[in-house]
Amino acid sequence: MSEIRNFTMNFGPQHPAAHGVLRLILELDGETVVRADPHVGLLHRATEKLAESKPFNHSIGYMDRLDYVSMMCNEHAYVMAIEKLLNIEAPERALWIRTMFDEITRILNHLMWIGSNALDLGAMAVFLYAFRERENLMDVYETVSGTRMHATYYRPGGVYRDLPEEMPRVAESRWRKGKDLERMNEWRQGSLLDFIEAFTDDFFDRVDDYETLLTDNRIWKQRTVGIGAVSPDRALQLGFTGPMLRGSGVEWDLRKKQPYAKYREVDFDIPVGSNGDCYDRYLVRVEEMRQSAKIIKQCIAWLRENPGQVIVRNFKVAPPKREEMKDDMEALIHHFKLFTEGYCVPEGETYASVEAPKGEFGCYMISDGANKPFRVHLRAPGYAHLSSMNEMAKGHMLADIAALIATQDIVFGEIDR
Amino acid sequence: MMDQLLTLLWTMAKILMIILPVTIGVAYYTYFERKVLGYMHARRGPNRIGPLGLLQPFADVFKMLFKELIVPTNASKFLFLLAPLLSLGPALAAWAVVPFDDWLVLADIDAGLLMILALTSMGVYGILLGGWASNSKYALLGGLRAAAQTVSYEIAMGFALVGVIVLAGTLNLTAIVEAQSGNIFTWYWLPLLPLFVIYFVSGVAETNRAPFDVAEGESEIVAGFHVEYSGAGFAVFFLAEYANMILISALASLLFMGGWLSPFAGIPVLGDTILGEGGVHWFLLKTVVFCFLFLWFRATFPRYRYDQIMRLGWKVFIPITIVWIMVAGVFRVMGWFGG
Amino acid sequence: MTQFSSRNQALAQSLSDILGERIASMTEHCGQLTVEIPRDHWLDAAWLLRDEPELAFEQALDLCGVDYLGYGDDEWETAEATGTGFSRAADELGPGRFSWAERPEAGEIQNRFAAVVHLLSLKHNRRLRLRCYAPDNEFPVLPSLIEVWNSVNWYEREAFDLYGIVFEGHPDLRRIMTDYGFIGHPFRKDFPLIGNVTVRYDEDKGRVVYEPVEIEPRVTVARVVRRDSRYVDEKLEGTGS
Repeated sequence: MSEIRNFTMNFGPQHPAAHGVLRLILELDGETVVRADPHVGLLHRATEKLAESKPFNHSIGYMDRLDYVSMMCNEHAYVMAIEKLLNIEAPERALWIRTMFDEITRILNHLMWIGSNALDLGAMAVFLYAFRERENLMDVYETVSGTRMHATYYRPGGVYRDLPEEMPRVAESRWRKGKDLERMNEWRQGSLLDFIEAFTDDFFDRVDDYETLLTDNRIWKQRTVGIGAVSPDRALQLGFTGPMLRGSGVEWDLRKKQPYAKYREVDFDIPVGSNGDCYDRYLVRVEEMRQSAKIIKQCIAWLRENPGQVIVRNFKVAPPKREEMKDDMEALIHHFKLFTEGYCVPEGETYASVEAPKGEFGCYMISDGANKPFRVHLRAPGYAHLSSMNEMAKGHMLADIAALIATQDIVFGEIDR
Repeated sequence: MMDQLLTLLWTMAKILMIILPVTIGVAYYTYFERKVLGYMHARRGPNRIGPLGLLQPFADVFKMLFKELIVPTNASKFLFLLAPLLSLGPALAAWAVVPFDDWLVLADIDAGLLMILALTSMGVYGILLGGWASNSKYALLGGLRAAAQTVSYEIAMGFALVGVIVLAGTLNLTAIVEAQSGNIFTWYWLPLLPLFVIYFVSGVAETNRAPFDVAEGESEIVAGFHVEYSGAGFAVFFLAEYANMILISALASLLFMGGWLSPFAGIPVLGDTILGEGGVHWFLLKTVVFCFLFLWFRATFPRYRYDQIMRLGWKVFIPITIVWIMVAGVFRVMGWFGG
Repeated sequence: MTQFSSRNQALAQSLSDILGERIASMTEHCGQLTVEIPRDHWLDAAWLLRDEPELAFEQALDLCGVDYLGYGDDEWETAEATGTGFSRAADELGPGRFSWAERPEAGEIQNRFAAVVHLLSLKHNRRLRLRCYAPDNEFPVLPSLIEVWNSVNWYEREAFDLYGIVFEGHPDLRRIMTDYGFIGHPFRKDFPLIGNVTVRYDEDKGRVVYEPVEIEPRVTVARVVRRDSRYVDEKLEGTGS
């Protein structure tokens, strides 16, 4: 009789549940996972090195492409690091806009997560419902920045521009006409803020919809309860942050504990799990969506009342207005210098972090006084989460690997950087 | 001699008359599926080819047929090509004994139900062989899962049918339907309600459909047993799967929902009108309803894990069926239902 | 201890109490404390930082390598006017402008490589940055912190992969980001931005082949360091709304 061995299986990089380009070498005993060895780096674009060769502002767009489902949160960390080094602060309205868009981004990310998590466990409907809502938020992104995903909207010293007064409407086409079109444009009659408000009002019901499909579903519970349980101590040891840490019962949220932007002034709760399994993390994230919508509503209320500047009037870091450039030589020179050479950042180092939807997204920046960073290091939450895959997967079954990848909310843009 | 030839030709013609509608039914079942899923998923489904996308199934068929049939390098070529046929054959052959109306059946044999049981269990060999012959780990896992799953659910399904046999006292499908005649409340779904539910759920599991689609398990083992198939090979597997789904639906309506019998028969006023008449249309309507259930499940439920399916099959379904067969026996002896 | 801002005062005090002479230097910038620890004390300082209740840094959020080669160098002198235009004035082989063959010699600089760790204490809600220089530029070796904080596992692998810093005691120090069989450490400052080899599939040979990279090194904006008063001494104006 020949010797019985475990067999290895190559899960990915071309795999529907690999969330991009994860290559997972699984050692299986039947269907039970004995060892999981993630191979990452297939999407490595050396963002950090590229950033070293470019003026500070040129790399903002790269940040969107890291975690490409929570774009503006990545920008936020990067921009905050530059602001800290330059010792400038964005105007208040810009901070409120950032707070609002961070939360919009959180909803975007969590919608993507709930959809793909459900899809990985075989429930297709939630995915499409989530994408229906995502589409609206993508439109919000497009309205303020011109692009649906890679916004490059945050700038050192504020945001690129103020919120538009008009929300673009869907045009008539062969496939979108009549009642359909009217329904789509119903929220789009007013300003961008009106649209976001209509969306958030409606959003609570949508979250309830997702919950009716999943929360009490027996199959869903069988697939998530007790899967990938992590104790609070281990969660800390493994460097978990964000919902992964909160799911394990550690109450830690940078928005509360080390507030940035305007989080000190908004009212919201931090959901915390107790068992640290996939189901708890699911509940935490679903509740976070509701809390985000709550924060957005508060931001809308403030932004309606308080018009004002959205980027610093410091032409060394932020460009002057187009109109000013037309008749002011000084403004033109500033514009030219800013867009050809950038600005020099005083020597020093800093670490700025935000509570990105997936956890703590940090940006460690060393400047040697040049117009380009000397070293940028991006602390991606997913990187630490994925490194715990072996520990979480051990003893579970092959099908649970899909559940674990989904619960870690893996996005390869940020892990490989 | 001439007579025999004529009989042969006539039989061939009858076979064609069944196979063609079934194949077209499968084609439009896929269309129906995509439309229904589209509706349930807040999207549109096919709408570009032909009016309302009605020609989409044909576009798919042609696309599939003209695609390259790739045989993996280390695959066992003969078995690899045989497997899809092996899964399609039984799926179509089973239709031979399915009565569409009391006169409309290809082979009105006494052991019809037995033949169906035999043929549906044959289908898994195609899947198992396909999974094994592909020489891929994903396909192998898919094949193994399918085999284990079918074996377990075959038992539950068989037991569920035993209940029907006990009440009807026959294995002939036409006779089973006749035995249910009366009105909607004399059909077997009522006395055999647990068996009916288990039969249909096992049917879903047999055909490897959501939420029991672990043999395909897209997010786990990519596409399971047919991961290496392309073009026509894949199309044949696909055809077999859908033919099986329709078959299970047809059987559910024959065995538990009174086949071509009208639900209004025997009910005053309504039963006297044309609605009270039995006929093929009732049978088709019932089948479509069950077909729809397949899609509804798929749109709604997450997927079970492999071991959970096993647990459900062995620890829940089989005990229930055994108990209910006893109950059916009591019904029969007391003369409450059947015989 | 007067050089620290009020919110870091207490932390700085307990750090110097507990770590004592293990601290090589302690600085503050942007309100964040940085502690430099010599290589020999790297590991025991880490244990103290985690386990002493007064410090209680439960989490190591981040570890990264840094290559200090060329720190403060610029490509284009802007302090004085130049008679030549930009294209000639800019240093030809500045950062990112060289290929593998022309890569600069790593000069004799002290403490070229360092590992930087960011710690977080949930208990005290404090952060701390640790830095440790690897003494040998040719073969930088540091003790691994994986026993203290398991989370540094992949971060150390990454620093090894990208900077070639070897972490002694790491159980699984494989490359993580780069390709299987990659040569060199791509984030070192003397590694060209355009890379070294390209990979493509060769029809004729029927396999993947590696070839020298073909693209031209091209960086559009010169690296400029300005140390004039506007940028360094004064705080930038126009902050706030």
